[in-house]
Amino acid sequence: MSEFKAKLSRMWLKYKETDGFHTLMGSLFAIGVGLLIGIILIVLVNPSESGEGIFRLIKGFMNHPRGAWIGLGQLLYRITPLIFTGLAVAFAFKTGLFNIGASGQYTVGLFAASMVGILGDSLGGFQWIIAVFAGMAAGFIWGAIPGIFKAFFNVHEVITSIMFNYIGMYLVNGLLNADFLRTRVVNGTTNRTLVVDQAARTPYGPFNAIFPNSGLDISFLIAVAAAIILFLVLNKTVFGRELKSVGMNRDAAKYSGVNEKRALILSMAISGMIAGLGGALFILAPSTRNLGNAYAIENIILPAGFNGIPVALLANSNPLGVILSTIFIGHISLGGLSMQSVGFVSEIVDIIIGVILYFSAFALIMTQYLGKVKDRIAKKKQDSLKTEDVVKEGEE
Amino acid sequence: MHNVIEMQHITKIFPGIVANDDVNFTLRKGEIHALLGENGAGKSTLMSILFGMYIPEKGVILKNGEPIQILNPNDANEQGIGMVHQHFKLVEVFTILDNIIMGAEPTKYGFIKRKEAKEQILELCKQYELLVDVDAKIQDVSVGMQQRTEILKMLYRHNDILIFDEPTAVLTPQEINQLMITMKNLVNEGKSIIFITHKLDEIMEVCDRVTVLRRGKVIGTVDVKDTTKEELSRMMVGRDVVFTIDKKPMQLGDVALEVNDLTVLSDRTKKHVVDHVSFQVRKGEIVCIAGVDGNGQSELGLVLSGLIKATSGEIFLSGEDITYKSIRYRNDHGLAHIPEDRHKHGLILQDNLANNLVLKKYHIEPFQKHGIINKAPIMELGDKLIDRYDIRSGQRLKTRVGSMSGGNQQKAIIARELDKDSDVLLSIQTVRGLDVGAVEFAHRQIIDARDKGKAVLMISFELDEVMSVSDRILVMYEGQIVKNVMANDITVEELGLYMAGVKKDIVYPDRLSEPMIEKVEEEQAHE
Repeated sequence: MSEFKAKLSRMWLKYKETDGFHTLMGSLFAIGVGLLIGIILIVLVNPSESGEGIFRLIKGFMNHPRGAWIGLGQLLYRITPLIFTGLAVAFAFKTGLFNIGASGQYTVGLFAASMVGILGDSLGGFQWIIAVFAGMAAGFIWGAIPGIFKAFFNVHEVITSIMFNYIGMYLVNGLLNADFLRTRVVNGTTNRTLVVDQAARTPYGPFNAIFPNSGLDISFLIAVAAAIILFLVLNKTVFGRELKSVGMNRDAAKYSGVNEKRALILSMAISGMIAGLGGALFILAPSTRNLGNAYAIENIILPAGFNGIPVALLANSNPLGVILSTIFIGHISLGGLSMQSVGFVSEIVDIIIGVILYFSAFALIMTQYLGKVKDRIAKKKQDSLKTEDVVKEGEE
Repeated sequence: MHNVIEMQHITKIFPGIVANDDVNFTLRKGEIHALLGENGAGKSTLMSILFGMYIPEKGVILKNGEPIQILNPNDANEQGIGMVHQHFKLVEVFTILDNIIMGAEPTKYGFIKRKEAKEQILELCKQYELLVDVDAKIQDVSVGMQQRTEILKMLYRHNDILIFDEPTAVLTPQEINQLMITMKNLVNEGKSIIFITHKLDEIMEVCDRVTVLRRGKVIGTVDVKDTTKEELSRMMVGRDVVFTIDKKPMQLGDVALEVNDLTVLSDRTKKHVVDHVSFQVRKGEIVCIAGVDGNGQSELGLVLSGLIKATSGEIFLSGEDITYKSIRYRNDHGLAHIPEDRHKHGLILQDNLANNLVLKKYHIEPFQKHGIINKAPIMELGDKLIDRYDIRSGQRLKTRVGSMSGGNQQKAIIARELDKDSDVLLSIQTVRGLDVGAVEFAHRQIIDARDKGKAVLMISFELDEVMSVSDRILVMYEGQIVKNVMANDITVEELGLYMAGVKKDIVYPDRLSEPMIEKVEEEQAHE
């Protein structure tokens, strides 16, 4: 037992020296500051109800009327698409790219999957699997295009991928409004797509038994698997090393023999593929009360892609960290929702998330800076003593 | 002559390394004081402390006998301390005038008084004989003129203590001579100069005193007139340094690298930067391409390594046509390459030393298996190379390469490329930024490689290196090979004539293009 303890403490000491530990501390510090500012706001806005408000905010998913357990299930159900877009953004960050087009890739993935889900009746039991792959393929292509522009024409991926959000959204809406599709896949009265066939819905897997009627299906497991795979690809494989080396220094990667254009395009395409997978699994979800999800044909870019950026940042682009940061953000968002019933607006949560992001981006710099300031103060004291000595020596 | 700057008992510690250990340094008024030391000896750290970029753990700085506090470069500037960094701090798209006045603009009602500033700067140019075109943009002028801009920046701010951090590393021989004259002018006008360099000849030429650092400690301060190159290098590396390298007679083998009628067209100028070049390099010989920087050698290096595409012509590696092969194919089939620009191509600065040492190998076994990276052999290789090539760093394999000194970065590249099992070594500006000890070591390694039967093609802008290492010399001028000669059969003076384009031979006349022959004939006709 004591041996185990000693081993554990050695591992802990070793871990404390790693960069991972420092970033984790930075993130926790940022979260603390964010929550503190949120709490101050709540107290300022409505002091009399503030106790209950703070309580509900911290309680998060546990506010669920059917109990904390079902609340947890629903939390995981709600955040699953966000995990995918977060992973997409994080993967791109790790390879030196800023994929701000996750929304567009998510949308085309969602569209492709739902088309297979609605029209692919003949596929039988494979329908949902084919639909998932269709969504991934669509996201792959949609991500690859900005990659191609970057690789061959040196157009910055932020510009192209943000444009491809609009192009993707209008393309999807345009196709859905075209006669040959509209008559078959759109519900005219609600102006939404039809829900996908039963056979096209992702299975609940074990979750209907564990979290009855929470809506959670195997998408969450796929998300966790995707995070693990991405983590392994980035850190343990030659392919991942190549992609990362292009991100760190494109010229040196080229010099070392990496086909840097191919790597760039693949990085963006894989990032898009993950976002597309998220869109596909969202639209194919069996969902609560078995009605299924539907896509509303509006000229609005889906926010899922943009919401992936903060979770990726908070996780410092670590794929495994993305799961944790998404759970945290989902948790306080649910807390924010249930705060509304005691008279607070849920936007307080947006402020908290904003503050957290702001501080997590600066946390590393700040801890370093604080260290420096401490050193400097100590040194000043020392120096002033020293200088006196030297001056005295000089006088003597 | 009194001391303008005294640095007393300076100690600066970085993680894993004591960069300065109780260093004492004095600078007298009106002297050129050289700071000499091996790569990573702590010269740059000491000067960064004086310039306010680092704060030492211990020690005081006195100016004219008064203790001063320098917490940042602005403090240093107020104390009249200016620095020309090895990598210039200039805005490329600004004019020289704007760069000089930037941060210290003379203004009236918030408008810059450019005309006044210009007059002032032209006055300075005249006083110190510094030739610059104040209205030209930085991106359009030569490296030498950029450096003069940096000097003018210091003079414009009335700095009288000037630090030059390896100023000659980037200059051509002519520009170096000019800089030496400028430095003498500056001290004649009452400035004091600290001159960081590796080149002993330069120290002997212009400096008054020299302080030698080794592994963070001061070994001594001596008057230049009382010392010799040999003594300085002994102080610096702690042992005798051999300036002349003995080589075994070469054992020529098969042709390992063959270049046929190779041409590279510049995208920008639409001129042939490499102009119908043909040559061969055999196993067991060191061929050096000499020439003044900018005559197409850089492009030749890039095209041989595959970083740019050939416009026409052929490259054979051990008999195989690799003209259109990928970089990785060349790497894996016997081409090692020490690149000219180590920060751009040679290293991934954000990454650690271990990963950089295996940069060209991690895709082959045993460093990977089935696409999964295998860490143990990578660490083993890294440890081996660090020890064998004496690469100094704070945390060994875990060190971020960007935090290492320039010389040690270069050693890491040399280690990686020489360790590669390859027939041909393409080495460009091999010893840029290395101290004499490391230069000797690197040259020794290259000669050993040649003795083991590698074909070595070096590209160098430094005549000393060309003369001391190579077996055969090719001179490149305006993209063409104008001389092909055994190193023993030519003098430095004659080589200089070819490099300057005064003399030209027709090399491989059957393979040279028409224009060149015409040109030579025209010139002959002219004469």
